[in-house]
Amino acid sequence: MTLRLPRATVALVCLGVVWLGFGLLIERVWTFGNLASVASQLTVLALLAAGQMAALTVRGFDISVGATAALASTAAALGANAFGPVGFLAGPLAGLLVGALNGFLVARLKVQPIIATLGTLIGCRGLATLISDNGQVVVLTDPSAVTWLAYGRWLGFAPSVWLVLLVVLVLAVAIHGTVAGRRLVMVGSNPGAAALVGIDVAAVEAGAYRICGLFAGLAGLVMVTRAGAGLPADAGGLELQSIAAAVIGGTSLSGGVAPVIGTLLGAGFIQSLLSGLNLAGVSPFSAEIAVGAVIIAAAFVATAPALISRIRSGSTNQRTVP
Amino acid sequence: MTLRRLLLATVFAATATAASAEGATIGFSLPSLANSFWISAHYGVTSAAEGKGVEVVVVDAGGDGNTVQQIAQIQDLIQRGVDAIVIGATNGQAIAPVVGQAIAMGIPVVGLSSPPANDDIAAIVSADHYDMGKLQAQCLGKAIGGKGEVAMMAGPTGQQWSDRRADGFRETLAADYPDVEIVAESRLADNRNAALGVAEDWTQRFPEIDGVYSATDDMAAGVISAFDAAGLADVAFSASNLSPTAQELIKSGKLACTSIQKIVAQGKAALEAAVTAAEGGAIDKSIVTPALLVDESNIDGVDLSDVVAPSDYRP
Repeated sequence: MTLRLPRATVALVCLGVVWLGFGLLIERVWTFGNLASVASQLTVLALLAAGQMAALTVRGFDISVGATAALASTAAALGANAFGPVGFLAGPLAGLLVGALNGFLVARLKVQPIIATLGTLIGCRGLATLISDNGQVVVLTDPSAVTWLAYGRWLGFAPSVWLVLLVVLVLAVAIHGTVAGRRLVMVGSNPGAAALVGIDVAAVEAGAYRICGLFAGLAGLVMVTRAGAGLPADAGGLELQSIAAAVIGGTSLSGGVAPVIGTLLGAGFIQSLLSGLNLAGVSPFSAEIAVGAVIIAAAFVATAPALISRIRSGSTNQRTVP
Repeated sequence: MTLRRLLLATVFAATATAASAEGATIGFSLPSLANSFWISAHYGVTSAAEGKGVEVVVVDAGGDGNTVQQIAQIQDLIQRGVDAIVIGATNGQAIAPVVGQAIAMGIPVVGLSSPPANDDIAAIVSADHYDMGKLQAQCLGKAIGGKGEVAMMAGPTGQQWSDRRADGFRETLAADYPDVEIVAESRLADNRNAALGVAEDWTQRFPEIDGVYSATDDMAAGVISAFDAAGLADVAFSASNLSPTAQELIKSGKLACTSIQKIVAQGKAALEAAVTAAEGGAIDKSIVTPALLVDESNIDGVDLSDVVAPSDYRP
């Protein structure tokens, strides 16, 4: 239990330091408008990171989330143009299918996660290019029907911010408050023990990848609301940001921990950092180096408690379960 | 209630800081600084800003596909309270909603070369891309002796510059050199490395090719490497733009010609238009810089200061 507190706190402290630091250095950071702006930018990464966390929890990971989101956004835009509002469901559905494929490859066929999801990454990019006329952006026939979700205001924030928050909270409740959620954490922390008590480990692992795919699909939907278009070539690099966000949020790369709120804070930290560097007018190249360095430092701090306790306990095999 | 009070306090703080801003600040959102075009445009914008004592805040989306990133960066520029924004779009239509937000908040937007698709932007600065394609057709048609097979490394679809250049090339070739046949066209490659890969395939499939059109000099550099590696001589190459790499290729005789646009001049014009718009002044809605043809005969005489950034320039 002593480890539980630091997990989410590292991300919270990082987030606080970024806002404090940039706020002291440059004006216009501590404004409600900027908070709302960063929150709306955060929506895509928050969903990708939350899904990524599910895959990490069962000792896997998914590098196809960016490509899946791009494919889902394209499918949603094509669906909406063909069938009206109900067609947007093609986005989450596409994400779920990709997640199911990843789950099948990893959990049933025992393909290494990096190989399986690299394969689907390339496949998703190809498919998105194919269905979108050579990677062309798919513009909605009526973009304003959805862009209000990204640029409108509900209680000061964009409607998409509230919706993403709701979805992430549902995931938190599902993981921490249901039997299925506990199985997910249990399989991640000790698959052998989970199998001994009668849990179908492969089914749970496959479920984690479906969650990851579904969340990437929802991220694709959010991309559509921000651009008013499906973006087949977009979201490159976000897979790595999503892993960084989850790790800074306290997710362990060796599984067994599912800190949903920490992950949300971790994503908030990365987005705030990127945004702060933009506001500061730092040269884009230096900004990239800074982001990389800070992410490594934050991830180190986030993983340090587990490392220290492992060294103290004198055993490298012992796993830390909160 | 306490939450509402807190929100109100933050809003007041926001308006207070907004009022204390001084001196013009111009945002510059561009698709990719890995691209020689945008390096030259960056040079134009920042050097014009230095002359005027204007601060420029540059954000780089990091790639032509990174629309989500560019949308977030434009939101940041809005929050930064810039007085006007110069935008080279990753995709003109996909960033239109966020650009609409900027315009709605009273921030004038100037499109540079790849403009946002909004109707109400203050101005669009661009080259005459159709003429750039046309000049390539005239040069390449002559270089291969008026007949034979050519291939087109035409650049991305759905972008005004590449579409107009390809149209100018195709239509001029059909009119002036009817005996020249276009045997291959790729719209997939948009950088040197991708063009190299596509051109390697061409050397296998179309060994009889006499000439290759490339939408940019970066892509032409990849194409030339592929044909060199395949040992296919007697192929003529044309391109657009004049980066230091293209200058070398022309001087060494590997590139027959390149049709150029005054990129630095465009960057300067965009910055000037943005500053004038920020001050509420009147500007032309469309600013077009003419195309020029450069080959071995005139390369030493061309005034490059309006065309490309110096070769040692780092953004």
